[in-house]
Amino acid sequence: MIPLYLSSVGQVNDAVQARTEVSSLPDENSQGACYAVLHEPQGQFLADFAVLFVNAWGQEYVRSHRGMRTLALNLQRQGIASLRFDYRGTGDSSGSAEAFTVESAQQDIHTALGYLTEASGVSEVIVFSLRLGSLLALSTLADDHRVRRFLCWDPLLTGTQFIQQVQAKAILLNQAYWYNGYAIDSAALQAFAALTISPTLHTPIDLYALAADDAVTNWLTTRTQASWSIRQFLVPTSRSEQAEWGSADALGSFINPHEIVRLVTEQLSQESTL
Amino acid sequence: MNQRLIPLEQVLKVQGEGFALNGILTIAPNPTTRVTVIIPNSGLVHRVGTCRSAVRFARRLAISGITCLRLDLSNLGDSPSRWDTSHLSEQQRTIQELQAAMDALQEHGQRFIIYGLCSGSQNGFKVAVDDQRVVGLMGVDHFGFRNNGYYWHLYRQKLLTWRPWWNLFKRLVLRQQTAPADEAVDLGNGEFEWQYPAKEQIESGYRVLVDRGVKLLYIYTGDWIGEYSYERQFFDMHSTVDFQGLADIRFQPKMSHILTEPSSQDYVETALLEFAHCFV
Repeated sequence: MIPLYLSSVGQVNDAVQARTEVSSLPDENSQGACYAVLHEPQGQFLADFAVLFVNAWGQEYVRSHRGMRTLALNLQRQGIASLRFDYRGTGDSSGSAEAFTVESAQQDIHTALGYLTEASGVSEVIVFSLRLGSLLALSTLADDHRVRRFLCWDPLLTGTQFIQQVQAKAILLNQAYWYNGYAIDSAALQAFAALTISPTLHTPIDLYALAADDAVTNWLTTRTQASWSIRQFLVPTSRSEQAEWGSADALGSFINPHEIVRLVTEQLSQESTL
Repeated sequence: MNQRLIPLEQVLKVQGEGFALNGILTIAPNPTTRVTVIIPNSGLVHRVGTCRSAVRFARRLAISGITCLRLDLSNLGDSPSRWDTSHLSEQQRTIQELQAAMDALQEHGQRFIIYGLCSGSQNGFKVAVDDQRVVGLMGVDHFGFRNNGYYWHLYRQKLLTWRPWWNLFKRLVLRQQTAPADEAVDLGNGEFEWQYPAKEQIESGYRVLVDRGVKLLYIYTGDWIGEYSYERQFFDMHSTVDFQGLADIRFQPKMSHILTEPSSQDYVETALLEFAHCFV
C-alpha cells in the first residue's frame, strides 16, 4: 500500500479551530506517498457510506480543487465522511510529473479507498469522480464490491477521449507531452489511451453534465443495451462551468460548480437517511 | 538521488485570530541557511501553484538547503474563509496572515523571502513593507503601470506585424464582430477582487524596502503586455525611486503568465534558486 500523508478536517464550521493532525511525507519510501484530506463528520448521525473523491488531471484538477472541497464540506455537515487525495506525481503528493502513470494512479485509488473504509468504519463507498478521474475510477474499481455507486462529473469514458484531448494541443519534448503546463510521459499517455472499463461492471453509474459527442453517445448506447445501470443528470450549468476544461482562456482560475455541488449534496443526504 | 537529500514535507496549520490557514512545509534535509521561502497563492490557484510550479520550486529549494512553505491564504485552496468580524481591509488581512505564517516558521529562521506569481508577488510586497523579517522579494508579473515608454514599445511592435492591421481591417471593412470575451472564471462568492494600491503608495513602499536593503527580483512575462512592454519599464515607471542596485528586473516576452512552457518553469526555478542563495 502507498502511504498517505494526511490533513484532517475535523470540524466543518470555519469558526471553529480545525483539528490539527500533522503527518509527513515519508522520505524513506521509494514508492512515495499520497497527500490526502479526510473529512470526518462530528455529529451523532453518521451515514452508512463514505465518499471517495477521484480527481481529474492537470489544469482540470487545479480548477476543480475548491469545488471538490466545497462538496466534501457539505457532505461532512450531513454526516458523510469523505476523502480527497492527490495521485502521486500530482498536487501535493510525492513525485514529479513522470510519477503519474496508469499503474500508479490505480494503485493510489486502491490505497485511498482502503484508507477511507478503515478510517470511517463504513463498508460501502460512493465514488465521486471528475474527467480523467472517472475513467480511472471506473476502470480500477469496476469489480470492487465496496463501491455502491459511481458519480461522474463531466467524465471521460474512453482512453481515446483523453489522448485526443492531450495530443490536440500538447507539445512533445524529451519523450513527454506538455499539455497546458503539465507533462505526461508519452508511454504513460499510450497506457491511458488503452484504458477500458470492465464489461462485467455491475455498479450503478450516475453521469452529471456529460458532454456527449458521437463517441460518447455510442458508448452509452452500447452499455445501456448491455444492461448497465446508468442515469444521466443534465445539470443546468452557468457559463463558467460550460467553459472547456482545458481552455487556455481561464488557466489559473477555478471553477465552483454550485449546481452540481447542490445536486450531489441533496442526493447523497437523502441516500444517507434512507 | 541521494536518500539523505530527499526533503520531508508536512502539513502546517497556521492559526491566527479569526483565521486558520493550511500550508505544506517542505523542510530542507541539510539546511544551508536560516532563510525560509514562503509561496502564497497566485490568484485563485491553491498552494500547488500554476502548473504545479510551487511544488516543484519548493522541493528544489529544499534539496538545495532552503526550507519552503506553500501557503493557502484564507478562502483559497484548503483554507477556510475568515470568521472574525474585524474591519480590517483585504490588504491588512493578507499582511496579518503572512505574518502569522512567519511566526509559525520561527524555528526555521527569522529571515524570509517571499516568492509569488501575480497577486502572490503583490501580496509579498505588501507584507514586506510592514515586516522587517522579509529580506527578499521575488515575483512574476508584479505591479505594472503604463507610461509613455510602455505605449511606444507596444505600438512599435504592432506597427511591424500584420495581425493587428488585419484585425482592424476585419473590424472596419468586413465588419466582423469580435466575440464577447468568455467569462470562464467563476469567482465563487465573488470575494476575490483585485485592485492595485495607488502608485504613490507602492513607491513609498519601495523606498522603505530599499532603506532596509531588501533585494528584489521581478520577472515580467509576455502575457503582462497589458501593463508591461519593455525591459526597463520598471525603472521608468518608478523613476522617482532610487533602487540603489537592489532591484533586478527581467522582461521575458516569450514567457506565459502561468508558466505553461517547460522553459519558463526552468527559467523561474533557476532564478529563484540563485536569488534565494544570495542570502546564504
